[in-house]
Amino acid sequence: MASDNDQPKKSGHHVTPAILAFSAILAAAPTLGLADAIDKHGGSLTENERIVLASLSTEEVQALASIDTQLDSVVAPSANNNNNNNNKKPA
Amino acid sequence: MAFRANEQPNLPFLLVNPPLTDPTCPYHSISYLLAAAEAGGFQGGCALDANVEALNYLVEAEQVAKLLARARRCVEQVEQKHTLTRMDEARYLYALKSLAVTPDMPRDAVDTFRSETKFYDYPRYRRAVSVINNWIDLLSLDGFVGQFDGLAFDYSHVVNFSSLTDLSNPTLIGTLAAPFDPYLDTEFRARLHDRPWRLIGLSVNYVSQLPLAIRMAQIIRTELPGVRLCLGGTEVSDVVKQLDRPRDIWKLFPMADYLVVGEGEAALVTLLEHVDAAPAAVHGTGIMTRSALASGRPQVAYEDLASAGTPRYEAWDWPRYWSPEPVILYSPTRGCYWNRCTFCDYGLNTDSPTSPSRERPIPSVVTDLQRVQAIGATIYFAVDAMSPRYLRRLAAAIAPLKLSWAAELRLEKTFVSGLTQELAASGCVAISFGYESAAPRILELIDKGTDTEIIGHILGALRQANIGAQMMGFVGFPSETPAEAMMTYDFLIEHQDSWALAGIGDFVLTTQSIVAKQPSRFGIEKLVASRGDDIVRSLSWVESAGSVRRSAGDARDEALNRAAREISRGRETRPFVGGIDSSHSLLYFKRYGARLWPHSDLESPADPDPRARDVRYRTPFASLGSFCNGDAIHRYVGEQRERGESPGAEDVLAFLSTETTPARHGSEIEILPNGSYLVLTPEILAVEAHPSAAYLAAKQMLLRYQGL
Repeated sequence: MASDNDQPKKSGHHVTPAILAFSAILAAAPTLGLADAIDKHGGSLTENERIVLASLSTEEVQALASIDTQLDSVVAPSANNNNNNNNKKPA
Repeated sequence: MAFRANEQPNLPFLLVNPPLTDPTCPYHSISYLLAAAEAGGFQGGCALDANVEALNYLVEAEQVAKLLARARRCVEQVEQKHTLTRMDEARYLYALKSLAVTPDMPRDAVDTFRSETKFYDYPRYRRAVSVINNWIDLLSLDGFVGQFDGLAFDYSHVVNFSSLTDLSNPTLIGTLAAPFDPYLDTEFRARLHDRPWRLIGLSVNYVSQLPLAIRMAQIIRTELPGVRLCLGGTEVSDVVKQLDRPRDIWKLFPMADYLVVGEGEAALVTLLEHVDAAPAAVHGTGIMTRSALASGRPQVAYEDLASAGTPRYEAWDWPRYWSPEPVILYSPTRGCYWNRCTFCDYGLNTDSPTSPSRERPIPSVVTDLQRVQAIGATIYFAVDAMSPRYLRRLAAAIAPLKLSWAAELRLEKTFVSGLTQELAASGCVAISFGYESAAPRILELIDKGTDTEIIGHILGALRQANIGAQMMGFVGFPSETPAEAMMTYDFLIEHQDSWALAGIGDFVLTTQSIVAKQPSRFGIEKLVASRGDDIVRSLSWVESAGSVRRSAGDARDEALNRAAREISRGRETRPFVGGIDSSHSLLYFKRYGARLWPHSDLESPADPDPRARDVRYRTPFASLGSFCNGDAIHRYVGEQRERGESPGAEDVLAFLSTETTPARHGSEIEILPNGSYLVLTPEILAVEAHPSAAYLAAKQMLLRYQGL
């Protein structure tokens, strides 16, 4: 079983580990093969999600990987929540 | 001759909260001002939250439909042009966002924020945030395209918010405010005439309120030439503090009769007592008039919290806010009992880091909060700090009230001696801390009075008590080494199971901090203000150890950026869930506990809400990726500032007027609900020509998990 350290880090987003799992599977599929990639990285996915992913063709995996990469740049994580270095608080 | 206070108790006056700021709950300043006026014998005060009212007006389907029509005309116009300017390119990218929006989507998103069930359905909530962020970007098409950063103005954009030249230019202010014209020209103007107001005050507490405060003051003076017009609030105070010549603030507000710096309660009562007097004849602590053009800094008033009245929260129309239940901002203390941090420059005073510490007697706090219970049961204690002794007594006293609350507190070792359990029993659901740094030498220089060992223990105690911890700090303090900066992230990564949110910003050196006043103590040889900044909101510096000029953000390198990504949780920031101390985060802490978010989508009460539609569009341009966008404007402004020049609007508009001739062999894009787009490569298009059910389902899941 893979340790957490094997999971590719996208943003450290703990809320939806499925994002990390999806990305990891899409990235690993070309080298591991889709079934092994799901086995290795799909632990946090529901059974239905695993079934859906297992049904994808190679071209579909590549298309989704391309979309996933683009989403990394268009859905940037919030990076600076700091409000203590002389910036005003919300209250 | 001026009336005495008790001779006209019903004297009508209006206190206004201008856009653009947080619409999830009312800022508390006006509630306190109304209470003080009432205690002074003036009961005719009204409150207008023009921020939430403007946003509510603009979010209605009729207004959005007109906005979308303007955006789509913009798309057509740009596509028909042979040569584009950078401004055209930016407008095109923003206008394309309209294709993913229907007229009712923004209003539906606000309904989600107000709904007890939909609000806590996190995937649905995130989609609503995406829609609102897209909508606010679209609104900027009526101003300087891209001028908003979420529900605030972007300060690294066309207009220099630190330039008196820019901020006193009516055309620039008119353009910044133009997205709000549909509200200003109708409901706002009407409100100015619905009673014979004698005094109108604008409460300006954030930089982001400055453009609309200036514009609204112009409108008020035009509509009501005889009304007494006053501006106050922490932003007005900060501008006075940060100007070389405080009297220059009148260049921003030539239409005002009075400006108030510092805490405003006593000043407001004085102004009401002398509402019939010539402005020049009115004197009081914190009150500035145009005729008194003294070059010195005005004296600041500090209110006596023991004698203050209960804030008038009844003044607000609570269902209008973007929240499923009221979140009430209340201040049992003002100032900071520690008041030693060398970076701090927070108060309205200039002789110490922040205001002197004052505490409202606990019995009065209990009385206030009992009255608050008629409105809501969720409180954010809006304080700089509360001492452990006071906090312990407060917790014991309010526990029977069954409230839920959060606050920003100092990290004190008493947290590990049972205090966290007492706080939890009193309804505490989250605390934010200025942890600042994990490097011992930097903590020493900051004079923070904490160390990382005790902070680790405190975080453990908070986790045991199911109190959410929100950690704030910064990198780039003068003389900080890259290794020391990394320690601040490493500590958070090491304790990642013990906090919910963390934000590590860039150190900003401000003029009244101890660092700026005693630079040599911190290895600083020289302080430098950027040319072009009249309001000196921050300074650059040269360190004695080298000749390198440093300013906010310089400490970042790829290693720190990677660490920053590791501690980033959530995609959204204030005022939404994921923003430190936001009212939405407070409500999520209350619902889901110390880790803030539901453990999984299954835990949130999801209902079958289909994802918002995605829209395909064939643009005639070959590569939208090369178009000028908000990042390009930030880069331009940033590069100028690195050279020590703070560009004004004239410079940025010149940059945006540069012409380009983009290639036109077309490309296919998919526009997402947050207004961003995916480039549909030939490989994606081939798959999507005949997609399998599995592909469609997987793509939907991928987008849904990204909050789209």
